[in-house]
Amino acid sequence: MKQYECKRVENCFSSANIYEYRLPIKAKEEFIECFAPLGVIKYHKNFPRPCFQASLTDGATIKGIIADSVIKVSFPDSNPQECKANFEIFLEDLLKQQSAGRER
Amino acid sequence: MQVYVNNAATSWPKAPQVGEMVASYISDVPHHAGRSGFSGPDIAGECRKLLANLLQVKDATRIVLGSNATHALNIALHGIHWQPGAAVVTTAAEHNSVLRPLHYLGKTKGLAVHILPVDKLGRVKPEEWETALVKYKPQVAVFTHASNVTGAVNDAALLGRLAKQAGAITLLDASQSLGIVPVLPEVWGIDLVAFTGHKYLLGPSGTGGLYIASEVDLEPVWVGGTGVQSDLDEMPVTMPIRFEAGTANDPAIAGLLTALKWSTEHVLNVSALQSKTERLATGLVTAGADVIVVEPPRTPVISFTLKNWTVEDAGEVLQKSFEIVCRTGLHCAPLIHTYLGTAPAGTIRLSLSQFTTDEDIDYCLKAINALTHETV
Repeated sequence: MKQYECKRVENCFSSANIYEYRLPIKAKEEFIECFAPLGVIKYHKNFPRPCFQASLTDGATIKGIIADSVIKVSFPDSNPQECKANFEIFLEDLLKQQSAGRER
Repeated sequence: MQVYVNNAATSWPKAPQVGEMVASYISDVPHHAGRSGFSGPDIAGECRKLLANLLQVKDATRIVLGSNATHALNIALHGIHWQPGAAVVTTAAEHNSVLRPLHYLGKTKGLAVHILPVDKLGRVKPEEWETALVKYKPQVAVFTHASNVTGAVNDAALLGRLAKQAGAITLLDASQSLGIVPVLPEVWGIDLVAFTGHKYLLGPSGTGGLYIASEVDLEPVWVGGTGVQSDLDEMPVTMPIRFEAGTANDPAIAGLLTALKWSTEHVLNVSALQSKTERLATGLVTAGADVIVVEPPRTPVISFTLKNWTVEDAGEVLQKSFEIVCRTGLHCAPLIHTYLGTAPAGTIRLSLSQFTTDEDIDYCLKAINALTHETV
């Protein structure tokens, strides 16, 4: 069973490939940093609700509020489904590791 | 702090007591719906009367109540007795509520749809409008009163007069104007006016309507039960029920009536709202935003972009980090952006209402300043 819920997000463009993921944990900075091997992460810590954006090398972007349980991921127009599948494998593994870490 | 500046999408807050009226209408024992006489309150009739006062039309029964402006526009556009090979003239500033029905009619009925360019603020150029009317001799001319992207208000009296002189049926989309800008179809010679109840009329969503001038012969698009004259095979010819088949959204209409009464008693301070809009626009320019600066007449809608942010990212941060409820993207008006220079991503849009406070505006400006001093 997946550890997250995924829901498509619509915007003005029919070609958009955007999904929200509700995680079983709050995406704190240590969790967000786990995406660092996949791309570049930028934080906006001076905003009222601090947020982050991770630009992955495969063209996907992850956005969210730090310590919120929902992250929003935009997949690139080229090959979005493969990109989504790869992201979800990475996310699932990451969440399992987090879960195992909590249990230890 | 949460700030709501998305009034061009739907107004919030609504007029006082609107919510309570909707709730009580649902909770209370229903009246004998759809019948006349003095036995119960005529919510729809009262609503029509106040709308007729607002539109300054003599006969309130010419106002058909429906679900929204899209519903009204479809009643109008699909109800017209189209001549073979007919032409329609419209503008690039239109919302999809106009563009999509016209596209559909072009495909299914072979209408020639001519979409005129607009200026860099989103207004129709009257000289181009006049030229197109002469050139294409349209059966119908459709245009928005105010752009939902920039707030620019068209000279509806002039555009309507030119269209009438060319022999066209005129259809005005007043979704963004009614309640905030005078809309005077009989004075201006406009045949059809589509409007919504949930924007600047401050009523609930799921309300709207269509004014139909007595000279215009429309065929009903929706046919069915009317609660009266049930022995007829066809829709009654009586207005407005000819165009009001099916059970109405009575609780929402009661809410709209409450809003209209409130607005009648509390006349909008147009200059105060204009000042707030100008202060926000000026502040945005100072903050470094690329603002589409619109001179009056205008509605309290401001569109802009930010140099170092995509529209989508800026909107995301404004909504989630700053809790500013606004709108980004195309705003359902996909064609106008070519003329505004904001294609393909669209704009960030802040739209005020009479309930927007100075504190709200200050907070928005603080947020935009924070964004312009930081990049993704």
